[in-house]
Amino acid sequence: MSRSVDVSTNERAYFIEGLKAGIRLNGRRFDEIRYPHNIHLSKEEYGYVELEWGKNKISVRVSSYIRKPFEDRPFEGIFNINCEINSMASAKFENGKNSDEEVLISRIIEKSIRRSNSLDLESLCIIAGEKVWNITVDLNFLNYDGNFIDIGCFGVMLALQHFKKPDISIINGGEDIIVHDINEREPQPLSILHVPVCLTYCFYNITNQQEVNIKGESTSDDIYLLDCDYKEDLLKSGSIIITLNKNREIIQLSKNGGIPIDASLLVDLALGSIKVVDELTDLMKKLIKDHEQQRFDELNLKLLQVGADR
Amino acid sequence: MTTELKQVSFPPEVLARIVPEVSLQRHLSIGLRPNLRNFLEFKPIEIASHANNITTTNDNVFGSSIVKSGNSTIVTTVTLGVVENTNSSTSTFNNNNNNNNNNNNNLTNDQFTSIYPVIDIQRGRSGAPSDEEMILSQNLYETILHSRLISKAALKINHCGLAIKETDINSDKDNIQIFYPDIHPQVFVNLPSSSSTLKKSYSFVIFCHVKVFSKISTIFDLCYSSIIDALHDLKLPRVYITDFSSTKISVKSRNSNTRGLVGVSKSSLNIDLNNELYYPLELSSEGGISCNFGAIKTVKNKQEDEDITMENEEVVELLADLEGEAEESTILSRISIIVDGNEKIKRLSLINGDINSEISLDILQRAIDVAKLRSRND
Amino acid sequence: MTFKVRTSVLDNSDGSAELTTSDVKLIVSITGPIEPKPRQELPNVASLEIVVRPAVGLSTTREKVLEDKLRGMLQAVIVRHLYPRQLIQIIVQIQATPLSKHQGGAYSNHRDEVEYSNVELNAAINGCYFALVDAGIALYSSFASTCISITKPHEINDNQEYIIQPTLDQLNNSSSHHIICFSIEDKKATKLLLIDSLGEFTEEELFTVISKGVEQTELLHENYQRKYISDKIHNDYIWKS
Repeated sequence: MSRSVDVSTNERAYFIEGLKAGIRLNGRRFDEIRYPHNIHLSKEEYGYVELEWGKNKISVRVSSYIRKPFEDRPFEGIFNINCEINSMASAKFENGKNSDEEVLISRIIEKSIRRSNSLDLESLCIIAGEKVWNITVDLNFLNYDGNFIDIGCFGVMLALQHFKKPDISIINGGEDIIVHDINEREPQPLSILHVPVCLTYCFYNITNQQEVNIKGESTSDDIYLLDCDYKEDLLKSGSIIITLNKNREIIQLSKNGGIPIDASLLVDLALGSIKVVDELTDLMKKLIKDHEQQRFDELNLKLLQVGADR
Repeated sequence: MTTELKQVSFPPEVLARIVPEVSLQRHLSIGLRPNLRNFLEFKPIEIASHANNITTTNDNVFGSSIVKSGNSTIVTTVTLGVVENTNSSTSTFNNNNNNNNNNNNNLTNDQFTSIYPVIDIQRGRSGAPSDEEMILSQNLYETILHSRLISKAALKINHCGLAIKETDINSDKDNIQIFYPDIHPQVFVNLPSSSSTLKKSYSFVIFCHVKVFSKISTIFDLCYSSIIDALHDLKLPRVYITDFSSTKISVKSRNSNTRGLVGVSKSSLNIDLNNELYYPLELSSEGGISCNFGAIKTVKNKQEDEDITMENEEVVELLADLEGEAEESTILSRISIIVDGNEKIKRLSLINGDINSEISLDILQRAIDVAKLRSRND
Repeated sequence: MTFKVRTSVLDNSDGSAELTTSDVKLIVSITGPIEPKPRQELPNVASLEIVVRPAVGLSTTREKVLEDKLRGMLQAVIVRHLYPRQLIQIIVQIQATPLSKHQGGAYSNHRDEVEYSNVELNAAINGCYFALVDAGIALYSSFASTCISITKPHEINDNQEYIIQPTLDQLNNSSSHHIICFSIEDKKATKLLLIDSLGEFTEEELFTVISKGVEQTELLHENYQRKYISDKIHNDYIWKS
């Protein structure tokens, strides 16, 4: 496997011609994503998820422990996301060295999930100023096939919904706490306020005359593709990452250089994304629900249930 | 035109720089090591315990040790930290299990703890720790943890004192007196037990700062003996609480940028520097002596029947206490053993990095025997 | 004992293997031989770049030690002179450990729990074997590793208990634990590659453990390695017949 990732001029021309004719080399429509598949929600461990998305492969783990909160935020738990990419994913990522692309990926995921307050930090407080939960998400990229941001965000949100932390009792009038063993009391899920979904659009300039665009003339020739694969990502001339949730709110929006795009296109993209966002959110919900049901059946939790169904 | 090819020859010290493996082999073939020691001879170690005044002149150092071996000097200083015990981690469910174990008088590994070593090899520049330093400190950490040297109980602070401020009316000066529940029980009878900090339990954490000067050999052994010596020297101080500082801290809210002030009565923990009250750390087992060995294949020429056949005999030789560049870069099959006075092995790490000079079971046996002998002598 | 292997799981690596044992899960990827960076280049042999990534959190000194031990062992089994001035990248991503599975992954208390990083080393060695074979890197011999712990007798009359592939609880109650790795030629364990023992034990116990190690690594080779490799070759050459 070589480190270099160059695309020949012929390949590029072929690809652009394809786009002109409305064809993507992978056979997808321009606004079609690769749906996640081979999703494995661990039955042994809460908050461990493996999934594939095209040829992308990731594993996500959520873990928790109790610590003292930061001095200036005594009522809030602590939440962080680790995401380091090493050369396992692709030889283009160097070990122990943060490339610009890697920084961008982790910043956007951080911005979409952590800074949008999708995890309710105040619910992680146990005793104000003394004990709070620290939730850590480890996002491991195993195989790269373009678009790590969307898949990373999906994986983290799925794992957060899968995770459960042990139940806690406060004793001695707030002096001490008991962390209940998971076999003693059913652990509690995290309180998630909203589910952000990242979508990355890549832009291609098919007229091949960049000057025209910069002068601000018609940009209707521009083509955008949703969820690029490895090769499409290499050939892109610009991209925009939109994070939305099911409430149709924009969480985050970033456009990092590349060719300029029509401002009105932005609204179209946001509106067009809503359908995909709904689909992905519902998929997560369904996966979690099915998994819960499976666990419920396997452990015969029905026997422990108190109260009648209404 | 003919050019005559001359044999190039190098003086021994140049040869040792450019082809260390050849130089080493030549030394070994005449039964010598580059450092002029015998194959199984260790370098002498000098331990200057209690003879240094680092502990007495520095208030924050509670134990120290200086170890010398050849040109290398290792200085270990021990400092302490205090952490709150999280008894919250054991739920009732686990407690039952633990009680059962205690009845069997069987200690588990999680009742022991380790030290936090910081290794600093002085080489004339500063910066992030090198891989070698990181590996050394982690190995020391794991070795001490698993050899059950320091129990968590020994580091627990049992009698936390209380400082009481009395304002002397006559002289208008603040007078601070420290009381301990075991020394002044009468004071604590009258004291309202409202102080929440008194109910919490604390433990010491041991940090060992190891400085290595002029390193020329594998230094795990030296660092280990230095740390063990410093731990024997370690005296733990008493700890007291001052309960009279009440401060306001600023609190940020997530949804606005305004900061509010929340009053917190913070009691701070202090270390009592009255060294009459210091007590030694109880070690749960003996430290032992650490030795390292390397194995290398050498060719022994039978020089006697020179003119008939050169009979080359290949032997894997065991070398003790590797030293110098030639040995360190050439010998990849290594053993590191820690044995205590009762012939118990505390750690054994064997890596056959060179498949040709393999450490066989016989050689391992021989290395263990030497290590045992050494731990008995010292 | 569960011991599951899947090879060629990653598309962007030359060789990869996913190993799942009863308490550790990890994935190893091998890229190589590739062109090294100038400072990594060795004139007559291949250089190895080994990275171990932990299951939880960022990599620490613990992973550095694992990398160091793996390197010491792997440089003895890889035929490095076949790839001069080349680089072989070995990445081990640990995905689940006995500690992460403790409490169903819900709760970890860093300070109160004793870590046994050697259990991960054991799995990493075994995982590397399949990944190296998958990548087609030349090896001098097969190798296999096993973990054995010794539990001190509770009563005086009891014998010592030698536990193979101990669980976290068993490790916690053990007086010592050992990782033993042997090279295997013609289905026989031949050379010691690595021993890593921590705890307190006697010489006699050590040699008992080594002889059990011989047994276990041979079993591992016979029951799993041979089977997986022959299945793999069968599948790789399915077009040929």
